[in-house]
Amino acid sequence: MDQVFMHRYDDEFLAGIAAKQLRIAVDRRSGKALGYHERAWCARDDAGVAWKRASGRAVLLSYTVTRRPYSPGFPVPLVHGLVELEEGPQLICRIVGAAPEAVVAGMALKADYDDKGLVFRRARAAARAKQA
Amino acid sequence: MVKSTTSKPRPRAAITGLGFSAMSRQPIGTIRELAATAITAAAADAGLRLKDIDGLLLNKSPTAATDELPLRLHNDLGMRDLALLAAMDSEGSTAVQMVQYAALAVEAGLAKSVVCVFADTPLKGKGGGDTFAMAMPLSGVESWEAGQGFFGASAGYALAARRHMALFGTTHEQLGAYAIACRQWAALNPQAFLRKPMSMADYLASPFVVEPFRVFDCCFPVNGAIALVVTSVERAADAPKPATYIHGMGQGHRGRSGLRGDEAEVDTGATQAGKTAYRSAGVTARDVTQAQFYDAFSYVGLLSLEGYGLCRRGAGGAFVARGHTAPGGKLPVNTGGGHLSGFYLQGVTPLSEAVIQARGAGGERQVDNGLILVSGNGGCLDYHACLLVSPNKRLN
Repeated sequence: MDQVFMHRYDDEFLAGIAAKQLRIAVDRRSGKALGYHERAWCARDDAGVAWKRASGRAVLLSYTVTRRPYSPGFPVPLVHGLVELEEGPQLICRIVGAAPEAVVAGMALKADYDDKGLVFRRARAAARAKQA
Repeated sequence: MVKSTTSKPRPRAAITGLGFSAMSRQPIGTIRELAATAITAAAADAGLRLKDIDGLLLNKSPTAATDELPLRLHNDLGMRDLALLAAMDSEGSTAVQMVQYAALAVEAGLAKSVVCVFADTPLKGKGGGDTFAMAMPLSGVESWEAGQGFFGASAGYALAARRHMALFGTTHEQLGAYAIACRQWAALNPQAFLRKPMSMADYLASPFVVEPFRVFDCCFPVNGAIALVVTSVERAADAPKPATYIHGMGQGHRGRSGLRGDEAEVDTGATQAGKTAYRSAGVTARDVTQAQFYDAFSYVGLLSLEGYGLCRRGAGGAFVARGHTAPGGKLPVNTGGGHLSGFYLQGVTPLSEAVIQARGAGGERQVDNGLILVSGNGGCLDYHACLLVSPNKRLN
């Protein structure tokens, strides 16, 4: 029986974030991305699955604006989104670079990084930031 | 009035005892003390001595430590030779699950009378928002949400609510209509904590916690405990109070993939739980005369209506805004004020109101109790369990 080591999955993903790479797991046979909840394959060191760098393009499915302060490290208002990557996986992430009232479900996003790790910005704003 | 005409299975078991500790926003004792108080009260309510009870199921809050509600509680109460003993944890669905497993155990002959208890002290020296401030693991990568500053139970539910708004056009006012209906019910319940009338203007003026949720979209935690005694249909005939018969039950834990099309925020295991429960009772959603939901946030009430087939998918907001769930409406929901205006003691809040309603003891808030749907849910809309109960031994 193969020992299950689920932390490998988190380690791989978080190592990517530390290296400013947003990684997704992909089924080599179908070419389709796996969701971030699907990790049983990781325990088996499945050669049919590979980590791949995501494009960073995404869409905002939903969002929240936290008004009640929970942690000094995260001043409010703080916007979080349910973000769907172009490849299909979804995750929750901070949305930066836009006033809370300018955030709308359905807006195009682009992955970026700040001192706390992964963030998403509105796609056009992200492009302007890069040009500058 | 139950409308289905097919012959129905006999009930599996009955709830014959309901016991409360004191409930307060102030410190009133430890979880263990409150649980012991509620168990003693439930046994007396069922006309039993503690030594007549041979099963004990415990449910602590996910925010409490195991030792705060230990298995050895039965020693505290002098309960010996138990035939059934377990501490259960399926988060917010646990209380309903306890009653399910107690009913199945009684029906199988594993135990004769089982007491199920939930106790919690979320307000020990801090506010409820601090107690429930933990980050919920929603993305799939452990610790990810904490690293993103996505704290608090309200955040995950708020994200789900906004998804419903984006998909179906649900509005702030519709969330408000749900909260106001709950407040109207609470005004009729002497046990409810928030009974002052609330207008839509009051609701809209309440401050945001995590948008789209305002303070009045969030539950009102209290310290306290509630216990229920579950026994056989035959033994229920000897109980001093009218029996609450358990006709149907179901669970649904659909899981998450975190992939495009998953929609775990709006499409939950409540659907599976409801279908199983309706089938087991030989009824349909149309037969439900009132619902007692686990509604820690207003949105959960709307979504439960949809998940349990009591209104169309996506129409929960409109259903509530038309007043259907409020006093005088066609489907009374959370007639004690629920978690928002009654009190938040997790899954035993809706269970206790269901028993009060089934007994016809609801006073000013009493409504048609022909078939009562009781739900529990936990995680962040991840774990679902429900019961169908009635004062009627046979559903017509």
